[in-house]
Amino acid sequence: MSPLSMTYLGIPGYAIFWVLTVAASGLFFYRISRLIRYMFLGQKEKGFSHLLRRALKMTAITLGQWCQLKGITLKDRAGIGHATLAWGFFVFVVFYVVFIIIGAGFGLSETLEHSAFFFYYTWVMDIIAPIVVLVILWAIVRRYIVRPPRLQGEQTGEALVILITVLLPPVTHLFKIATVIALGNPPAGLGGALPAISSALSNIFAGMSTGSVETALAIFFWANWLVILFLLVSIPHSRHFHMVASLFNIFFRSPLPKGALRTIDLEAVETFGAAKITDLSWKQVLDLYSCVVCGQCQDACPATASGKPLNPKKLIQDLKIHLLEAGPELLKHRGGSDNPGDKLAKTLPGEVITRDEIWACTTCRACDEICPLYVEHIDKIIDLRRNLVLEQASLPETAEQALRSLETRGHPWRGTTASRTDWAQGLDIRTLAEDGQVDFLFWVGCTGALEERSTKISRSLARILKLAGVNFGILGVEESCCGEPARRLGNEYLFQVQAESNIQILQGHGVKKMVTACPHCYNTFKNEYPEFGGKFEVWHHTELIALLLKEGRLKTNQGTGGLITYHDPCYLGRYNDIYQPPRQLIKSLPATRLVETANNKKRGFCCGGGGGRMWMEEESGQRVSKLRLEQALMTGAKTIATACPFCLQMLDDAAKAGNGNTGPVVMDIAELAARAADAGQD
Amino acid sequence: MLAVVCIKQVPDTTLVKIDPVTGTLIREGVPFIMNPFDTHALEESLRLKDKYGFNVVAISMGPPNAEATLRKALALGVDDALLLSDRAFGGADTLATSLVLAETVRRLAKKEEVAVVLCGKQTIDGDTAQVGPGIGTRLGYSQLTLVDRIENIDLQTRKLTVRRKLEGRHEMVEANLPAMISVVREINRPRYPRVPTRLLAEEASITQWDNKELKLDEETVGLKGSATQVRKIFSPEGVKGEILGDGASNPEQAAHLLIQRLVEQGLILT
Repeated sequence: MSPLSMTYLGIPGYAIFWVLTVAASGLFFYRISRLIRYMFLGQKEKGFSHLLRRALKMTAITLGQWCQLKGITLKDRAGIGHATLAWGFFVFVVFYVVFIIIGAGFGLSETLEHSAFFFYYTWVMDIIAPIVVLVILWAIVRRYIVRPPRLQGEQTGEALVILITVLLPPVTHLFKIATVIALGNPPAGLGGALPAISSALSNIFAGMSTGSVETALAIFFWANWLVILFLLVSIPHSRHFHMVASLFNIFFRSPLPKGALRTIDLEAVETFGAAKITDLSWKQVLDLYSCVVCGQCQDACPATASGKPLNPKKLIQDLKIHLLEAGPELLKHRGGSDNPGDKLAKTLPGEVITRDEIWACTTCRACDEICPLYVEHIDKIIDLRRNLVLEQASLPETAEQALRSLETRGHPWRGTTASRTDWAQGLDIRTLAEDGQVDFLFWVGCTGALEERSTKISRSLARILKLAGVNFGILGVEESCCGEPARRLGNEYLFQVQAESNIQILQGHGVKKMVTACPHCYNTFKNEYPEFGGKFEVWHHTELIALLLKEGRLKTNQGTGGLITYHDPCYLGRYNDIYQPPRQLIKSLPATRLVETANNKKRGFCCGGGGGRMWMEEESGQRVSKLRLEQALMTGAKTIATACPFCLQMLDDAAKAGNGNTGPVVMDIAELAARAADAGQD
Repeated sequence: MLAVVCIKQVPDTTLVKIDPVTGTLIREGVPFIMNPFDTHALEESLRLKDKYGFNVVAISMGPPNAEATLRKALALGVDDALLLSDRAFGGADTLATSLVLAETVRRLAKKEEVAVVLCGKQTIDGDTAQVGPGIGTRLGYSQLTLVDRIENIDLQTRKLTVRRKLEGRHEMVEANLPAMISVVREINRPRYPRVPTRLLAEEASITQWDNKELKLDEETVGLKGSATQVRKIFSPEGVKGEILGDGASNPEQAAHLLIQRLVEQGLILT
């Protein structure tokens, strides 16, 4: 007899079942509707196409648990546990919908439970349930006893409730099936063997009277269902909500290339950047809902690691907490021209997120890349910076000086008196103004042209290109900053001014292909200029050098490389997935062994110079570059190769600060190539 | 009350090189900037606006393209910008320049009482530091140069107190309004422009006055009205010094040699 057919204090089981189920669903949907309304207090988003492709990707990422599998390392295996739980959860959901809601709820248990499907499904559940129990016990031990760094301070009541709500359903389920077996109603089917675990458990009830076992069945049934309903209600009230929000979050992922920031229509917007929580877009709010506080971003963040006030996990949580606090009032005052709700919300930069947090970000994308829920952090930090810079004109003095220099002199390197062509002296390089018939424009970049150490990258690259017979030219005095520092520091206006003027100059010379040694310029041209009408074939010098090697136009057979480690520049690696070309070059060097740092490729650790930090003081904590240098030194390599002028400078400075002239040699890929190809030197 | 701030558009002299053959400035690729000292005068005028509610007018004498620099002043929040541009003004030295600027202030003062005229201490291209005092003298205003702090302006008593930065000391000066104030860099840190104001500044029309407006005697302005003329510009020839000792291997000996030489030349006393 189904526990629903029984009466409890005279109340029919069905009535209790449906009242509770409907009430719990009501609470579930009510809360979700609130959250959705908060979400749409935010700004509009545009440009979601390829819906089918999005749906397929979302399904693969969630059902396949790619979200977890992508993050598993030898050190951090929690993803295995989560994937197992998720798969178990999917199996359980089907069971609850088919056999509890449809089956028990509509009195169809007799019919459904006499099918072969039920038999097999019970077997599957019988295997999965104990696995889920074991994984949850592992999770509890990990969180409360092992306490890995990313779970420090996360031993909260909420976390425990979540763990217990996941632990109880499989336990109560197994006992429920065990009582069913004990009552002589085993899952019918093809007469095969009974599910092993529940069968074994059924022995507990062997000696009991039928009445007692029926009572036990009812207890387990109701316990199981009450936990499920509690879980259902808790979903939108806790970080369990990630299982709903992240589906949409993954579906609505930004259509921009991952290296690109949203463009502000300066003529049209009312507020520049994010001043209030309602200035975030609904997709950005969905990011907040999706965060499950796993702390993987915190583990990956160079700012957090070096003791800066920024912690990407806390950033997202602080924004979310503020939204949930301000949400009800904001909804009340929604609409109307003078929206008093605006006054109720705190100012995000300064009040919700401190300025020090906002300026500490190197925009290295380690957090965005690692996040299993595809939460984006950097776009929010940039929106906060945009508000500070564009609207409040408030930014650290050093950053301001870099931007002033960029604006008046076309480069952020204040203090330099070098000209755009000084670096090229004696190399006989033509400018496009002199001769526009070139295959490649060599975009030197401000750093490659003006910062002394980096000019060696430019000279090396120019020599390689000449040696390999590449027909190239430079812009010379016509070259100006690509605008990247301005954009990352929040000055979207200045970025757009630079972009538009550069595109005009490039198109004026009929530039089709360009090569640059700077990943920041590269990313800007490749991923951000197209939106402004500047579409060029952009090559990073590591790609071009790798091609020249492959085609045999360049031979790197001189000297010895020795033990070399390679530092992945964030804007080349994580932003543009260029990992192999620089490694191919290193491997082509004679007598060379490439050794990897612990954090490489997608998990590469920033040098500390991105996001405009190149021009800012590092006031608190340790130097990011020092941490990165230490990681590189652990490999035992005497040469640290990199492919970005910022990385080169940061690591070079760190090496000299630590060891004077006895430390490791930091070299750009172009310098290594030029040396090994005997392309000539200074 | 009006605060008039005088601004000059100058070539970024840190990037200017002099053609050794012709003795002229190589201007190619050298951007124009607002004279750095003037950015501080501008900032101070905006602070007076915030504190005392002054209207701020930025004025500049220069070629039509100096409009770009006045737009930057508008972007920072001045109420009005006025460009004084006429072929007849070209080639002016400090005497002729201060005449045009003073006449402009005089005309502005007819519409609204002028409290202060603010100037940068000097420009980075001419480096004379004469235009500010020239304006003050011509207008008969109190003359307060090298100011590094405006302590107070008392609109009741029509007095102001400023601090002047002199060599090795400061001087507090009280003077009557109206006053010409020339400022040093230490007076403030110029603000960064807000973009909403900047976008408005891009659209704003900038009033231009030529000599038809000012009606100055053509013999007193521009090259004709200048008492001085530039004959030649050249970089002073660098004289290579001598190397004393070897600082890397024996710094102590090098230091002794240096001291000995300085004493010999009477540059330090023992």
